[in-house]
Amino acid sequence: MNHPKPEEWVPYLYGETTGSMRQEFKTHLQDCPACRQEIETWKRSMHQLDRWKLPRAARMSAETRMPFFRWAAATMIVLMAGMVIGRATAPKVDAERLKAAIAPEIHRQVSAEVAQLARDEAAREASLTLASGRRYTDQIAQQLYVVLKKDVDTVALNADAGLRHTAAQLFQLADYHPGQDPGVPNQ
Amino acid sequence: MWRVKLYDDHGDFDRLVHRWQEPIRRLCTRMLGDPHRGEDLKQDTFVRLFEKRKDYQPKGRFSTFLWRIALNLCYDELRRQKRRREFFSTNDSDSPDEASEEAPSETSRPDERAADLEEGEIVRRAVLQLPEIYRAVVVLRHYEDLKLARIAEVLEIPEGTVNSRMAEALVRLSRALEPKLKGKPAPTPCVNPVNMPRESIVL
Repeated sequence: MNHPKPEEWVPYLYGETTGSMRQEFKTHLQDCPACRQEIETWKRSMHQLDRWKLPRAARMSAETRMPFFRWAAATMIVLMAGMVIGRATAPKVDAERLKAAIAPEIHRQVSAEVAQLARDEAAREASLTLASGRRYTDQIAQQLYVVLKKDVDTVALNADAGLRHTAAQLFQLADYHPGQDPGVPNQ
Repeated sequence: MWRVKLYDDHGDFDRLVHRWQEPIRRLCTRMLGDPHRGEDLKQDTFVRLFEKRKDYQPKGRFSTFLWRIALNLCYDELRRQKRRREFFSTNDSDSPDEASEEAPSETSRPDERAADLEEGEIVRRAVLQLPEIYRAVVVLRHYEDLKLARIAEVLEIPEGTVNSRMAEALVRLSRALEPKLKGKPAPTPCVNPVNMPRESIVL
């Protein structure tokens, strides 16, 4: 391989040569001190270029953000203009006629709703009252049962005592003999 | 881009801006050597892109269309700066205060940061001393990692011309950098947010 021209080295330096060409350049560099020295100098310069570092990009500046705000503001203005134009160009409404037309219907609907509400409320009250009455009746019945049971027990006890007393008197009467001192029992 | 062209779709345009704003900012900053003007030109590029959306031909690459717009704006700005310098006989682009915009590694020690600043400034000046046609090739190939064929497409020149411009740029850069940076260790490669690894460079 003859000495490559300077421009022919550029693809080699940036790794853009094909495999066979690349090998040829490498071989030439091994054999040619002049080219080797020149290419080494270029490589050093290429590395030195990396010393120039740029500052990082600043965060989105106000100027960069401005277009978004401008678009948002433009949208708002268009919407508000549309509202104003719509209100201005809308046909006028005769409020009295509209009121007269819809009042009976509204009145009818309101009356129906009030009546329905009243019915619902009455039914709810009735069911609450019935439930309360049932509870009260049960309570009274329970109390009556207790009182009656107590009375029946008292009557039963008294009757039992009376019967025992009567039985004792009957025995005493059966043992009685005339002329006998009633205080002395029969022998 | 064709949706932007056909329907003026602002959502898609916003996504385009989001995707490309950083590469375009870097290109403009490297071409002008000034981060502030680079940021301004980045915004101008997207304004121009929206204005010229109807000229976009879907058969071509969108990125080529965008790089061209950005580069043309850079050339216009460089011409304006040149006229201004000639008028005021001053050299605005090499003002020392712009060196403060360098961004060395934040984890390095203060003395290393100072050294990085100095070396970065040397490289920046060397790149800015290149004529525009060479600088554009260096920025697109070395910093933005575009293939040589793509650069030819963007610049609308033959690929051989791209190679010869790159070779000439390397000769000039070596001439400018070797005496100043010789013997210093090689820096870590630039982080390239385009997600194109730099392994293509022969080490």
